[in-house]
Amino acid sequence: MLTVQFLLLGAVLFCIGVYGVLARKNAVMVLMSIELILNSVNLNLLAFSSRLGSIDGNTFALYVIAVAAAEVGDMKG
Amino acid sequence: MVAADLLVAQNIGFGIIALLMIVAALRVVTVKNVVHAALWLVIVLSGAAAQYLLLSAEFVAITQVLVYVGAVMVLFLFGTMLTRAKIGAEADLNNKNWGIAVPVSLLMFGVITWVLIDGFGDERLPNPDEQTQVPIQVLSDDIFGPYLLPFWALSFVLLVAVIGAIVLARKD
Repeated sequence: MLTVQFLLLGAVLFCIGVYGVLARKNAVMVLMSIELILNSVNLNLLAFSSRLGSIDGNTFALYVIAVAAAEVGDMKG
Repeated sequence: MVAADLLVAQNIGFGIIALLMIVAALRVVTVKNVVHAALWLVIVLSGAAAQYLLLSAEFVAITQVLVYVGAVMVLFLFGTMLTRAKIGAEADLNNKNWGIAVPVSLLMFGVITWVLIDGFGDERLPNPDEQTQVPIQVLSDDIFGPYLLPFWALSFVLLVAVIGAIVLARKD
């Protein structure tokens, strides 16, 4: 598999998320778009992690997941 | 876009899941019902977990299913259903100037695509059976070794989030 196919999927998801953040009025919908953006970032991190043969990308992806969970929890509070 | 010679099954799986994710993501940002948007987001997040498996990142994929599909989506649905009076379709989920967002995101997508194809045109990922499988132990050594300081910072972020949720929930 090529590296760029995962990166392009991440780019598509990122741009859809940016559209959602800009276009939506409801805070919950903006938050869902931010989740899309964070997932595209994770996809990029894991693609580069696999490409470079290093485990650091997995660590960063786990941190991103934890920060996203904290953000959603606070939003709902 | 697809590596021609190798890994036909993985490439077909990638294509199907990627198409599903893109359609579901478009539905998330265009649908007029908050609960439906959350349910479409479940498809995107599960598809992302499947892509992580294709990238041979099993632990992150399992964490994605546990944290995102398990906890975050339940939180979205519970929060929406418990706090909002209206569940059905709404007319005014978009901004007044939402039309500007279309060219902005399209321009951004064009630039990113050009840069990615220019930079990583035909670079190939190592095959899953060729590359050495990294055990989870190495991941934990990485978290608790060189990246211990961000881990501590993250625990403080979670603590602040918990306290903030309590404070915000007490106000109303």
